[in-house]
Amino acid sequence: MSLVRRYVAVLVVALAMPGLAYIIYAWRLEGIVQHPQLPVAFEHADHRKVPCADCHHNFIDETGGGACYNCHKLTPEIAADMEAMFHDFCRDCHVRTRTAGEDSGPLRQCSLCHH
Amino acid sequence: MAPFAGLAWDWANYLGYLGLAIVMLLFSYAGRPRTFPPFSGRFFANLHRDLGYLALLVVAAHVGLLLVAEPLLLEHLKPSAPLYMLAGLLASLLLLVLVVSSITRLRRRVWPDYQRFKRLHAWLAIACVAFIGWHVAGSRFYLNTELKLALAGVAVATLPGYYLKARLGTRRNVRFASRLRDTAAYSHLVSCGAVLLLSVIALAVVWLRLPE
Repeated sequence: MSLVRRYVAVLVVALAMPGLAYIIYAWRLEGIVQHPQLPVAFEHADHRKVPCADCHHNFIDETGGGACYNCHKLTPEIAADMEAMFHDFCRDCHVRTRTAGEDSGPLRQCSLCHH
Repeated sequence: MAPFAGLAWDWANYLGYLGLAIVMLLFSYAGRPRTFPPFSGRFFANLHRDLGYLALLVVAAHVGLLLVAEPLLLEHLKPSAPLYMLAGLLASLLLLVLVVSSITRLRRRVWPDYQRFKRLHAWLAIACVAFIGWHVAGSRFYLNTELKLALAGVAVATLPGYYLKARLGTRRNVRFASRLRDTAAYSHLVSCGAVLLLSVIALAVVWLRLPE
C-alpha cells in the first residue's frame, strides 16, 4: 500500500470513528430507555435509620417529583447512568453497613432485591 | 475488605481474578524464547497456548457460575447493561477470538504472514486487558478504594508494558533445553502448576475472608 493510500485510509477511519461511536451510544441509550424496569422490593420499615432525603432528594433540591422512575429512567440524559447510580447508592450503603459489622440488605444477590 | 457475599458469588469472582492473573501470565510467557528459565522456544510456545486455553476455561467458569447462581445477571449481558459489564463481555469475546484465531490451522489459512498475525494478536491482547481492567474497576466490589485501584492498575499495566519493552529490546542468546523440557507434557505440567499456585494464593485470600 502506498504512503498516500495509507494516509487516506487512516483519515477515513479517524473521521468514521466518532460517527460510529455516536451511533452505538444512541443505540445503547434507546435500549436503556426501552428496557422494562426490573421490579424492586424496597421495605421502608428496614430503612428507618436512613434519612428520608437521602433517597427523596427532590423534596430538598426540587429536581423532580413523583417516583424515581419518572426522572431516572425516562430522561435520556441521565438514564444511561441509572443502573450504576442506583446500585452504587443502595449496594454501597449495604456493603458499608455490613463491613461495619451490622446487619444490612443484600450485597450482591440480584434476586433478593429484584423480585 | 469486602464482606462475604455468598459462596457462589465469592468463588465466581475469585475465578474472574484468577482469569485476570492467567492473562497477565500470558504476557510474561508470550510464546517467545526466553533466557530464563533456560528452555527452548517450543516450550514457551506450548506454555503460552496452554495458559490461553486455561484462561478461556476459567473465564467461562466465572461467567457460568455467576449465571447459575444469579440468572438475573443475564440483564448485564444486554446492550442496556452498564458499560463496565459490557467491557467484561467484550473482554471475554476478545479472549475467545484470541484463542480461536491462534489455532495453527486456522491462523495459517487467515494470516499467511506470521508477523502480521503476531502484531494483531498482541494489540488485541492489550485491548483485552484494558477491557478487563475497566470491568474489574467498574464493578468495584473488591477493588473499592482509590488506593487499591491504583495499585491494581500499576500491577495490571506492568506486564503488558514489560511485553512491549521486551519486544523493543535486543534478544539474548537462548540456551536450548533437554528433550524432556521440550515436550508438550512438560509445558502442560508447568502451566497447570502455575494456575494451581495462583489458585492456592487466591483461595488463601478467600479463606481469610470467610469468617465474616
